[in-house]
Amino acid sequence: LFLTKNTPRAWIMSLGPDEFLARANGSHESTQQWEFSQMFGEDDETSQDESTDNWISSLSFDSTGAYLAVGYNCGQVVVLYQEDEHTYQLCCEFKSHNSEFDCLTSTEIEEKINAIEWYPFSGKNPQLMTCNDKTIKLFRVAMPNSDHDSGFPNARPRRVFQGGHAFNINSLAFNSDGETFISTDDLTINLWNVEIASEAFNIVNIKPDNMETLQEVITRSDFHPTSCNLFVYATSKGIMRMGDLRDSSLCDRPCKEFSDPAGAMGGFFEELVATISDCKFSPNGHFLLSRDYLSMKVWDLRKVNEPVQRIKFHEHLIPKLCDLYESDNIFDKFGCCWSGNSLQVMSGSYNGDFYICDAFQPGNITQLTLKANDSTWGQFDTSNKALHLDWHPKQDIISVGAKDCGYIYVRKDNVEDES
Amino acid sequence: MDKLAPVALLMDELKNDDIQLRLNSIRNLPRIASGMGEERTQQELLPFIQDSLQDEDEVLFALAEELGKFTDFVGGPSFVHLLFPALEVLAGVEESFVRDKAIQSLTSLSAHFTDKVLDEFLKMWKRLATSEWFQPRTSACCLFHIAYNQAPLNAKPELLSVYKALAADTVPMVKRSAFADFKLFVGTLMKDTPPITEVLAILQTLSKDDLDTVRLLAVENAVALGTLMGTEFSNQHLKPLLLGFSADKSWRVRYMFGSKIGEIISILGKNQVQAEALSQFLRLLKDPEAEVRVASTSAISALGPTLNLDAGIAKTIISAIRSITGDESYHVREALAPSVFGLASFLGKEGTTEHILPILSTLLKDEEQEVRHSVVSHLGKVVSILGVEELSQHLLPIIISLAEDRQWRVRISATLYIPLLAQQLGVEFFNKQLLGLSHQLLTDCVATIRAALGKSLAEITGFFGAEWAQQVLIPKIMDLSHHNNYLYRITLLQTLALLVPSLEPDFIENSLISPIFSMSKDPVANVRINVCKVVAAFSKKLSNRSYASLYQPLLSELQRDSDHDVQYFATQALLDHP
Repeated sequence: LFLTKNTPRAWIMSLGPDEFLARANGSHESTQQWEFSQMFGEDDETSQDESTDNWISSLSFDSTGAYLAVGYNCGQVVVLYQEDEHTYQLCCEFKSHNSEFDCLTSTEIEEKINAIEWYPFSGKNPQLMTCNDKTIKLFRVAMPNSDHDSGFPNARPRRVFQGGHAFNINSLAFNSDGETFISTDDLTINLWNVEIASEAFNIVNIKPDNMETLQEVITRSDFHPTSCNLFVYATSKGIMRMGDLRDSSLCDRPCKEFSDPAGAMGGFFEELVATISDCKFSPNGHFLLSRDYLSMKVWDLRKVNEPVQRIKFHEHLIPKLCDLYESDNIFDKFGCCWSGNSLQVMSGSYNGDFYICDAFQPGNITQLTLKANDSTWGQFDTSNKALHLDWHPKQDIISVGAKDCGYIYVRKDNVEDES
Repeated sequence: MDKLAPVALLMDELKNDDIQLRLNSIRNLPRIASGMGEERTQQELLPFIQDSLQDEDEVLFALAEELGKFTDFVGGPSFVHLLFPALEVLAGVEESFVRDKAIQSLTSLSAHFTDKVLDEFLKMWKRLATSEWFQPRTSACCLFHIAYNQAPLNAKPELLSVYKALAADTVPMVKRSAFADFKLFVGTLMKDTPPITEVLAILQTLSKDDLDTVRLLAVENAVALGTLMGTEFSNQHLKPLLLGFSADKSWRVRYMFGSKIGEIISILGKNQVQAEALSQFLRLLKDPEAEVRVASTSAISALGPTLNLDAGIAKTIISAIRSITGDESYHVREALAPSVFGLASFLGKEGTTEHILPILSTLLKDEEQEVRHSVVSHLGKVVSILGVEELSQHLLPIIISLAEDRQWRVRISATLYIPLLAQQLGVEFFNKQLLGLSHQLLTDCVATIRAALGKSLAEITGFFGAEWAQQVLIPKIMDLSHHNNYLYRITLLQTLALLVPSLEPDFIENSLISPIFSMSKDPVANVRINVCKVVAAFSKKLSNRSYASLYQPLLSELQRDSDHDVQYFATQALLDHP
C-alpha cells in the first residue's frame, strides 16, 4: 500500500503523480542504517600538499549502476566497476581534458572536469561524456574482448564537441531519445546531436543586449527522464524554468517557471542563498529537486508557485552566514540527487556531513558524516565539503566525493531492485 | 615461401602501432587477395580478417569498405556469403560511421545475391535483428527493405513480424531506425500484394509515438505509402493521419507537413480533400514558430496545380501569400520570392501581373537586403511570363534603384541580371533603358561589380552581335579612356579584352587602334600593363600581317618601358604571337 524501499521500482514508475504522493506520504520508514563500504582516492593524511589537483569535481553512476565515474580537478577521470553488491573496483583511468590557453582572451582554460554524464543506453561498451569549461568529449570505455589476451579496459574519445560555448559550461544532460544532449553555460543552452560534432543549435539564450544589465545566470540544467521534449534550467535567482522543445526552436519563453517567494529567508543574504546550485528531475518524471544554499526543495511539476516540500537541513548555518560570506563559502555549489525509487533525496554539507532525506515526509532526515580527517576533528571544517554525490539508480548504494576522496555507503538492509 | 608471404606480411602490418600502416595494408587487401587467388582468399585471408576486428574505428571503416568490393576476389557471386561473418560484426560496432559503411557494402553486394547467399543473408539479418545489443538491431533496421524485397514469398511474413518487433523496440534509436527504413520498404512493395493491414498498422502506431524523432519521419512515410496505394486508399486511411500532423504539438512535425505539402496534396487527389489539406497548410503560414513559416513559405510553389481547381481556392491562396510580405521574420520574407514566383507559370500573364507583381514590388522595397537579394536572384522565373511592356513599366524603376542600392551585394545581383533582361527585351529596349545604366556601373566604386558588368556586356554582345557592340556599345564606353581615375581606364581595357572574341577584325584594326595607342602612353603603369593584355587578345583575331604592322611596334616599344612589369607583359604578348 505504502511505498517502501522494497517496493518494485517498475511499479513505482507506473504510478501517476497523485497516486504516488498519496502512497509516499503515508509510508513511515524505520530509521535507516547506512554503512560505510569503501573509500577510493588519495587520502594521504601525511601529505602537506595544499594542491587541490586531486580533488573530485564531479561524480556519476551510469543508468545501470554498474559503473561509477569520478572526475577530478586535474582532468583525470576514474571509472569504477561494481564487482559485487558492495564493492567497486577500478575499471580504468584516463586523462579526459588538458588545460589549454585561450589566445583570444589570454586566459587559461582549466582541465577541471565540470560534469560527467553516462550515455543512457548501454551497448557492449559503456559511453560517457565529460566536459571542462569549454569542451565536451564523448568517450567509449572499451571492455577487453574475452578472446584477446591483453585485455585492459581503456577509454577512447569518440567525439569532441568544441566551440559551442563562450562562457563556462556547468552541466550536460542526455535526452531520453538517445540521440541528442544539451550543454549549458552561464547564459546559453545548446542542443547537440551525439553523432554530429560540427553543429549545435542554441535553444536558450538569456544574454541581455547590454551586458552591464546582467542580473541572472544559469547554474544547472537537466533533461526529463522520459519525455524527450522537456528540460529544465535553474538560475542564480532561485528560479527554475522548464522548456518544451516542441513549442519553438528557441525556447526563450519557458512553458513553466518554478519559484518560491514564500520560502524566502529575507535579510541581507537572501539573494545569495537563493541561488540554485543543482536541480534534478525525479526518476519517475513527476517531480523536481532543487538545492539552494540552505535547503532542498521538492517540486510537483504541476505546481509552479511553491514546492511540495522544503527540506531545511542547513539551519545551523544561518548564524554563520557572515563568516561564510567572508570566506566565500556562501558561493559553494552543492550537488543533490534522488534515490532510484524517487522517494528520497540527498545532498552534502560541510564537515564531511551529508544528509539523506525523505522527499515527501517532512522531518525525516538522516545525517551521516564521512570518515573525518583526525586533524580537523571538532572544528567546523568548511574545506571538507561533500559537493558531489550520486545515488545508484537501482540499489541503495550512494557515493559521495569530498576533497580528494570518494566514499561509498551501502544501506544495511540493502535489497536489489526486483524489476 | 612465396605462398606464405602475403598473409604473414599482412598479419605483421596489422599489428603495427602506426595506424597509417594498418590503414595502408587494409587498402592493399584487393592486391593481396588477387595475388593469393580465390581459394586461399577464402580459406586463409577471410578467417584472418574475421579475427582482426578489434581495431581503431578508421581501420574498421576501411575494412568495411574494402569487403564491399570483394566479390571477385572471393570467387564470384556464389561465394559472397563468406564475407558475411566479418560484415556482421562490423554492422554491430559502436561507431556509427563504421556500421553505416558495413551496411552500404552489404547493400551493394545485395544487387547480385544468389539463392544460397540470400539464405545466409537472411539468417544473418535475423541474428542482427534479435541481438541483445541495440547497435546491431539498428543496422538490421537499415537492411530490412533489402531483406524483405529479396526474400522468398513464404519467408516474408516472418520477416515482417521481426520488423514489427523492431518498430516497437524499447530503445528509441532502434524504433527510429525502423521507421526510417519504412519509406524504402514501401518503395519495394507492389500494389496488389503488400500485407497492407500490417504495414498501415505500423505507420499509424509510430505516427503517434511520443518520441519527436520518430514522429518526424511520419509525414514522408505516409506519403510513400499513399504514393504506392493510390488516392482512394490515401483518402480513406491516410487523410486523418496527415491532417493531424499539421496540428502536431511539435513544431518540427508541423514543419515536415508544410515542406511536403506538394506531395501530400498529390496523393490525396480529390478536390474536396485537397481543399482541406490546403486550409491546414495556409494556417501553417501563420504558425507561431518562424521555422514552420519558412518551410511552408518555401513550399508554396508546390501549390501551383491547385490554383486551377477553382477561383475561390486561388483567391484564398493569394490573399494568404500577400500577408506574408508583412511577416515579422525576414527569413520568411526571404523565402517568399523564389517560392511565389514558381506560381507564375500557373497564373498566366494576367494573374501574375495582378497578383505577383504587387508582392514583388513590396519585397523589393524591404528593409532587409537579404529579402531584396532573393527577389532579384529569382526574377528570371517571372520574366518569361510577363512581357516586355509589363516589365518596363513595373520592374525597371525597381531594377534601376537596385543597381543604385548602397549595398554592393544588391548592386551586383542586379548587374548579373542585366544580360537576362537584355535577352528578353531586345536591343531597342536595352539601348534606351539599360545602356546608360551599364555605363554607370562601369564606374562603380566596387571592383567586383565592374568586373561582373564586363562579363555581362560580353554576354550581351553574344546576343546582339558584333555590329551592335561596335556601333553602340564601344563608342558609348570609350570615353572612359580619358577618365581621370586610372581604375576606370583599366576597367575599360579589361572590358575590351572580354569583348574582343566577339568583335570583327576590321573594327579592331581601324577603330581601336588610336585609343589603344594613346593609352599605351598612359602615365600609370598598370594601365599600360592592361594595354599589353588587350593587345595580346587582339592577336588571336587579326591576321599575322595586320597584327605585325599595327601592334607589334607598340609592344616592342613597351618592352623598353621604364616599368619592369610592363616590360614583362609586353614580352609575354609578343611571345603569344610570334
